[in-house]
Amino acid sequence: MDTLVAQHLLKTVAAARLMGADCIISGIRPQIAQTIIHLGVDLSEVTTKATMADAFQLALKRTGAVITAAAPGKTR
Amino acid sequence: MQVASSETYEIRGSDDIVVVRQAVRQRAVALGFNLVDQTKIVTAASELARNTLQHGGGGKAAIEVVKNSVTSGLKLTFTDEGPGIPDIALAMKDGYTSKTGMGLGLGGAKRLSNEFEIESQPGQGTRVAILRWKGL
Amino acid sequence: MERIPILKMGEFLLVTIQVDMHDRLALTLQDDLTAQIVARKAHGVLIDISALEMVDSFIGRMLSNIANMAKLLDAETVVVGMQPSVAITLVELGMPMRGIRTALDIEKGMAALHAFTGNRSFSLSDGVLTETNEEDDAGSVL
Repeated sequence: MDTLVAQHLLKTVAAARLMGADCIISGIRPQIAQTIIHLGVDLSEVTTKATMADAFQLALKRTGAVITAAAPGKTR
Repeated sequence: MQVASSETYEIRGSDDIVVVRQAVRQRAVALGFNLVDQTKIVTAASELARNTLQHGGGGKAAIEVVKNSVTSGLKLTFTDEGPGIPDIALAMKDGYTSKTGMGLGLGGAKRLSNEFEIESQPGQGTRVAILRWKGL
Repeated sequence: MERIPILKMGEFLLVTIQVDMHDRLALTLQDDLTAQIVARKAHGVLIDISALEMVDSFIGRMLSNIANMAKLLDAETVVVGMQPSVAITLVELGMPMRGIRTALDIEKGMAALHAFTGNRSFSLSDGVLTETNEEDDAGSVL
């Protein structure tokens, strides 16, 4: 990802937050993390998670959704 | 670049700002700009029209449909015979507020457009032109 | 003179902006809202901008002013329904929109206001807003 793409992503996050949606960014690689810091952007209000799974779990928790396991042996 | 059509609006009062941005919206829709691009040029027009009124003491807005070999676009030119801008670079900085409160107008309009030109001398008024090409 | 109507919803005020506002109308709205917050002893203001196809720096400043003035008068403000193209443009314009809380729609905005004013508790799940009472919690499984 280059600076242009990083900027674009951050603007998209800013727009979503302006609309009232929370954003969770996951899977930021070290080089990208560096680019973002160099761009001087304030991400203190954005939650970041290491993996997509972590991000998804957090999103579910925030919206109050709960996943329960189906009874073993049952197929859909 | 060819000019396919042109219309001019007087900017004398704050109601004219609404007239100008509605005219820009109509032209942008007619040209087939997507919604985000429409919103960008209408917002830029609103900022510049307001500058023309508040800083320039009133003036004109010209809306031109332009074409190049690839696509069409909208060119907006705002002119006034006001006091002019002594330091354009300073005026373009975000957060700068002159006595008459230009604020984000110029820098914002530039960011919202594909092309931006400004000419201004103290005592000789100001001309600001922005252009947005369809599909860019 | 035309004015934007302000509705009372419980302890909150609701304003729906549906016209392309000229500057005078925006300033009148600011005045009217602050007067109504005091007159109706409102603790929250919900501004619905879902019909606004453009927010420039003037309107952005108006929204900030309303939020800040309301805060001084002990009322919270939430702006709801910002259109995506408006949000994208505001970010590009560089308008900071400080101190403004936003929510995706009126329902979520109301939930946010209730949370901020801390008087009642609500839960939002599956798009349904339910008020939770003290009595319900005792002995029930949620």
